[in-house]
Amino acid sequence: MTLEPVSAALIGPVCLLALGGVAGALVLWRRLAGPGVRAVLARSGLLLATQVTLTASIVLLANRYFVFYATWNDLLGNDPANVRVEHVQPQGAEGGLVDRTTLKRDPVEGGRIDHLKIHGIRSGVNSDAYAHLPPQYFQPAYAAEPLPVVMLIADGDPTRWLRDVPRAQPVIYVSVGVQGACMDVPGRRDGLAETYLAQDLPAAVASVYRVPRSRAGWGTAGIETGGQCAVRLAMLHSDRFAAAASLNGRFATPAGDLYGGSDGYRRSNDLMWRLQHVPPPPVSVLAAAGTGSEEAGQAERFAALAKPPMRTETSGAQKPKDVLTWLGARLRVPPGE
Amino acid sequence: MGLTSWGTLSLLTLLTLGCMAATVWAWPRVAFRGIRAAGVRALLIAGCQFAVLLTLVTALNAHYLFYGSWTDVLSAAGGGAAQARHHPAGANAAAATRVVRTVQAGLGPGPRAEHVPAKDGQVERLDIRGVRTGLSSEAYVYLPPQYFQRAYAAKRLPVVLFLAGYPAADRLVWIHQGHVPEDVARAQAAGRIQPMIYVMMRPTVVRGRDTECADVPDGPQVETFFAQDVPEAVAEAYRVPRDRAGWGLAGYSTGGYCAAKLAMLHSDRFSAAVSMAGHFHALLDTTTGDLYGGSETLRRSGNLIWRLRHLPAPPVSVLVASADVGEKTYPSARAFMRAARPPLVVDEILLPSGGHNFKTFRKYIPPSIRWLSARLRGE
Repeated sequence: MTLEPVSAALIGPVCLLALGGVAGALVLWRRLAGPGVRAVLARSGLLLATQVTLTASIVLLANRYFVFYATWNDLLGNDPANVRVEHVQPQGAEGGLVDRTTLKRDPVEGGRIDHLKIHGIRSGVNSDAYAHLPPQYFQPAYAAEPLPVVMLIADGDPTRWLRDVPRAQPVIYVSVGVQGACMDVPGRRDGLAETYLAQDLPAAVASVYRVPRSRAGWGTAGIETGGQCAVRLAMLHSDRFAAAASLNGRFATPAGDLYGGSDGYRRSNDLMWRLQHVPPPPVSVLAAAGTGSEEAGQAERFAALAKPPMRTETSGAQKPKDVLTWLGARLRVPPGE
Repeated sequence: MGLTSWGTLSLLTLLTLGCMAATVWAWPRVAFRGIRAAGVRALLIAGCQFAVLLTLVTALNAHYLFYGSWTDVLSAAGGGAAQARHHPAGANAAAATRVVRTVQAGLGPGPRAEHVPAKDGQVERLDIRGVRTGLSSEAYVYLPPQYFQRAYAAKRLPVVLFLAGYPAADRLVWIHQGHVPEDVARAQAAGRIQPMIYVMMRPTVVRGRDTECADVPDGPQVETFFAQDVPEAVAEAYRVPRDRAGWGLAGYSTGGYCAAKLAMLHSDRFSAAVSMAGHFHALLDTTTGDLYGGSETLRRSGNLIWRLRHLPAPPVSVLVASADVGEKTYPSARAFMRAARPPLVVDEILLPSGGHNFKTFRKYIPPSIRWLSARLRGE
């Protein structure tokens, strides 16, 4: 039976002693109430004893409750720690992030379109993506240079974007199809869409192509629901993306049971609310929509609410190519990357 | 008079002595029969005990620095925190997290006088103001001697982000109580670890509130601060790796939970984390307030054990440092380790006994640093 600070074998007697001391003081009170130095000394001694035992009891009880020091050795001892690291489970082989196959080479200009099978290890999403590499990617002048990356988020056919990309700027386009809201829905176990787009996809792309290391060279773009997704990604992951473009996107919060039943969380995911209540992230955003449309109205409101260091523009452009040109002009690869 | 000052302590000691003296003096006056008199006698003893405990608690607080000021205590007791008021940024608002860097020559290891960075390393202080979150915090950074040596001028040394517990009122807790720069210098001199950069912080970026490094709905975005703003600030100030292979985290108690959570939820930014006496589930108590927008589902998302059981395991390495006897978070750690599976890899340091205090944490720190050194890769 050990007498560690948290053991009942120690605490019990000390508490009894304290109670006994208090009882004793109360009982002996009148006997020590007389005048004279001896009486005063006796009183003081008895009072001190009650205080000491009471304090000891309370300290031991508190220590037992909060478990500050479980053993005397813990409190007083000074053994050098003899610690060993134990491996709890064997290291598993880390699977590949992406399988790449070339679909089409452009014989005239020298560009290339690849089909990627992305294994989203963090998100659990395994999905197809299409990468368009510009001719410059294969030219000797750019042999050691990373090129900016634009992630295109399509509602339907992910290859739709890639038929007509701007040729002027050398940019790598990676197009993916995303269904529904691109969020990590709390409590949902299948498919963390936001983690896929913000973490898995960039990591997969970086593992197969020469891409920038910093956010200055990464952008997102999308059409309609994909547009809102693109802007949301840049705003919430502005450590990874520097610019976003939305073509005919709306900025209303996606409806549905996506917020774990929390109004506060739903507000945090409302891009318009964020513009009014949360510090603006350091990204550039283009909200393009057909003139006079409802989307244009929303784009105007969005741009009006955005403040520095967030820079927002609106435009009546309707062609994906124009939107991508705007984006390409705002991405760059800093020297030394 | 500050909460931890000698003035307060002296006053309370005098108060206690006064109580006792008054009791001894009043003794004869309450010595007669009757329930009322008996009650008064008991009250006098209780009153003295109250004064003794108050003094004791204040003295212990001054020593361990749980709470640094009256405001800290009142905020903690109140449970709620002032909502961060976000002032709209002006036209010249910074486009990135703002960082101010100052040298703190006296805090590093080695002799105070004739301090040579290329030989002893150097402690610096960063004042960080997050552009995305509006949150501000200090960081004390220990740079190893190699950072200042010409042979390493083009190298990017690995970074470890240290997060203290709650409330850790002492901003220098990692140096004063953790002795991190000393331990690092010793291990490096013995050739046991590679040179790394140590960024020492506290997770208490909102006064009086244990935010558990969460992005609080409609509240402070502490997770974003540590996952996005702080790495940006450190990268702004120092030559650091761009790849996650060069970034790790370590923390004790709440800081341990933060380290594991940040590594798991931001495994594209960090590759390893050490949790020293940390819990793995999502806390909810008077010091945290409502961190989850009133949603139990959202709270579960912060439960790292739930995440391991129901979501894909992220590709990170985690070291759990705990004690079999005396460490209240050990059951939580055991559940976490049981739920772990590749690509998340778990290692364990287990002491036979150790309380939830710095005496024990100091035993976890050197092997944790060695473990991180073996896993992180610079550039």
